[in-house]
Amino acid sequence: MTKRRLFPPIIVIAACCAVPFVFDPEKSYLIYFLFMASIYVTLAQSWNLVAGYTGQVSLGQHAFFGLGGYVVAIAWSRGLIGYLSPIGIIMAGVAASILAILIGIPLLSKLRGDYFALGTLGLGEILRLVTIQGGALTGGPMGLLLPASSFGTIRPHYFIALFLALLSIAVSLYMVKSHIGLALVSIREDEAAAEANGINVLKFKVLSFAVAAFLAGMSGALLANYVFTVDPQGFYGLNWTLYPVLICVLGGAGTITGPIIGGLLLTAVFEVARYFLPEIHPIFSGLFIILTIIFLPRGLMGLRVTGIAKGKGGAR
Amino acid sequence: MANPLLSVTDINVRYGDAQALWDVSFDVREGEIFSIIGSNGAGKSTILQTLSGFLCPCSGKIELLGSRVDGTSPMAIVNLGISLVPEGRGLFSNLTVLENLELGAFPKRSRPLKQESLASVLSLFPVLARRQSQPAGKMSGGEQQMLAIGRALMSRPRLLMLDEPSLGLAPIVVKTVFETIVTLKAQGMTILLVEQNIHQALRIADRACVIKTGRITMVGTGKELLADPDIHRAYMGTLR
Amino acid sequence: MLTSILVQVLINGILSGTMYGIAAIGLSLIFGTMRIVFIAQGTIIILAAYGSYWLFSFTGIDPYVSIIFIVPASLILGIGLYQGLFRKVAQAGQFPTLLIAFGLMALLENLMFVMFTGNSRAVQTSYASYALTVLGIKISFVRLMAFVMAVLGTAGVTFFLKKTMLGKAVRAASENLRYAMMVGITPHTVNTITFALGMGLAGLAGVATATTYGFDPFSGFVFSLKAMIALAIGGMASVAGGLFGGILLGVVESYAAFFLTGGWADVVSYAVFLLVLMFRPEGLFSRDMSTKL
Repeated sequence: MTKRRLFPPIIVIAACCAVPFVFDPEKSYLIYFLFMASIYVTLAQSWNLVAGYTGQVSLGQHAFFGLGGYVVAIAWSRGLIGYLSPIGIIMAGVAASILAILIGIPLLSKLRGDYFALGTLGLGEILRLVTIQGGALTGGPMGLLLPASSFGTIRPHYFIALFLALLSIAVSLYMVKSHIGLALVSIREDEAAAEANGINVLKFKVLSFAVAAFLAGMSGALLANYVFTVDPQGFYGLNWTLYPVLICVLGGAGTITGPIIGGLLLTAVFEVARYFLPEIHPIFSGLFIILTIIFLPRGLMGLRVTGIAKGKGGAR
Repeated sequence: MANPLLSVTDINVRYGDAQALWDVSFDVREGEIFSIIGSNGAGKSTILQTLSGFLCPCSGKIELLGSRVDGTSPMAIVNLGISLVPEGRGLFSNLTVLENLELGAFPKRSRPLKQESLASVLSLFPVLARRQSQPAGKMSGGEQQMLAIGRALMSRPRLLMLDEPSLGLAPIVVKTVFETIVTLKAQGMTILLVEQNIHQALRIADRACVIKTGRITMVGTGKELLADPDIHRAYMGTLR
Repeated sequence: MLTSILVQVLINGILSGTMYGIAAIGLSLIFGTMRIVFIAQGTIIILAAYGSYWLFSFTGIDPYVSIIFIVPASLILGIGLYQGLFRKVAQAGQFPTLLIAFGLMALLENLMFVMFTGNSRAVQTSYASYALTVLGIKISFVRLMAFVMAVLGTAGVTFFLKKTMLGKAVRAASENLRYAMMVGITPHTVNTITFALGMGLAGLAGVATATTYGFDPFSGFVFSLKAMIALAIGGMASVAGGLFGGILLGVVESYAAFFLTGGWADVVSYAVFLLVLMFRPEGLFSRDMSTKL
């Protein structure tokens, strides 16, 4: 990237960093907005890696998100880590990516397309149910309450969230521009051809899956540090898959800026809806997905969401 | 001269950015066998795809008995009386022989005559009658080809198009297939044949044309082309 | 007597499994022709269940009678859903359609939540707890009825597919759409019919659900998942396979619930799901000869 192209992003990042110091964290809504947006962007970028670039539609990000949250929660309740411990958050990410590798290898080597998506859905459900059955370890259906119940200031969360978002963008950028990205896209476009060209398809699929899980796990861990409680429905809820998907669809999957734009837009929409129509706002996510796919299949960035299996029928 | 059954005038066809057919023109007269020959990738199948409505020419026109049919949907084209036996036979392997035939009469035009069509197809291909309840996928290549042709006949076409009917078949079976095509012609069917088996295709053709990288390079009667030294050199080895 | 208990568990499993079966058949029809994984199937079933429930609550119409209204309404809903949502994107590949179905599910769930609240509902008719006793086995009447409905539904769909021209066209189109077009079958017509049928079955399943289970707006998702497990076991594009897959799943669940405590039964189901997906994605019953996937 040339120096000139680096300017706008650097300014934006600098501005984002300045926000918590310019505005009062206690009262400013902008900080909360950017915080949530960052988390969504991280999740979206991570899903984008697996689905948009590698073409494996995973509907299981919520499994890794929830796992991240629970790992931190359990470790914290047992006094193994402290509040907002970076080790805890990283550990959560690592745990999620280990799970991704363990499950990913069998799933990705044998399943394609829808079957894979369904498998990941199943994974999410299994984790949720196992967590409910977890008894004292996971707090069962009610979840766990964490040792602290409020935070002094949202600043550290904000910066960690921002960092995660930037990390996810950087990772995506790196993977895309490197030979890894090339491999991923070729897998997406034509797996057989990629294989024939000597690309270890499984390795790359699992890699993108694990990286995505890593990011998702850390996001979950961060959120646990923010809401101070984890519960199966809140952390293993399908929403944590729905939103990243929606963001990428809105913004344009298979691009780097798409999820960013989509994330900001979506957070804005949610907050507006939450303010004006508090009960109905979840309905909008569904409506949005439908409308966007039908009318804006290319997302706002105008780039096509590539189907995994091409549709049938002739040139018409 | 009577109006041709099918008239293709200067069609240009693209696959995305790649152009596959350039100013292709030819006529098919009623009751004749018209063969299109050429090597792989020359554009033979593209012509049939276009004629059957799966591709739309970006310029030029296709007329059936004087009315334009370019740009209509494949379903409408079948209803107008152009039936394609695609490369690979196009059968529904999970459905029985009988079901495949019945579906051949799906177009509205041919539905009232379904029973008659069935009877005549079964008498033309007795092997199909014997194997009526078998899944189409379990038949031999030659039988499948018969079924594919039979199914196309069920739609009572005015023009029957065959895309590489000899592909993948043993020589003895190939012989039978071409005999069948000749029989159909004798019964009055108009046939457009696309083939890699140049010898057979030209032998039975009334008229034929050669297509090379998307362009028609030669037109003539079957006999003329069969005797032509250039064709021999290009496709059949040198003339003794 | 252990055997009679085990048989009871088996019977319960079969009966509850047919519920999954009906849901699965609708899914398999839609997937078979359009390659759409209609993950909102369960939610539509719940919508129909609510329909039956509210009909009963406000007008006292018996749920089984309400079938007369619910099923046609579902058929029409199916036509509308296809024309409105999927028609444009059905040829676009599986990713957009999966997402639309996902979006529809979220939309409907939350809509129902807002309109009907999250309270668990069930139709309490006078005969709701009536049970027959056959050879020492207790069979709940409503579950038996659900079983009957499932079998009739399957029979009806199978008859349609095997014996009617339109049904054969549907089967042809689901095997190969392009070849179907070559014999004059219009994809949109076939798709609309199939989708409508799928929704009709969902309507039937909805009535069955309303009479046998407590349900809330979010039950649909799990229902869909279970239906997919049933399909994965029974074969993704096979109609009767869906029913048997559902029954098998029901039996597995029934025994798992009996031998393991509480929620582990569900975990077993999903684990089975993943295993089947991985080791026999074409399902246990599929005898499909054409290449799929």
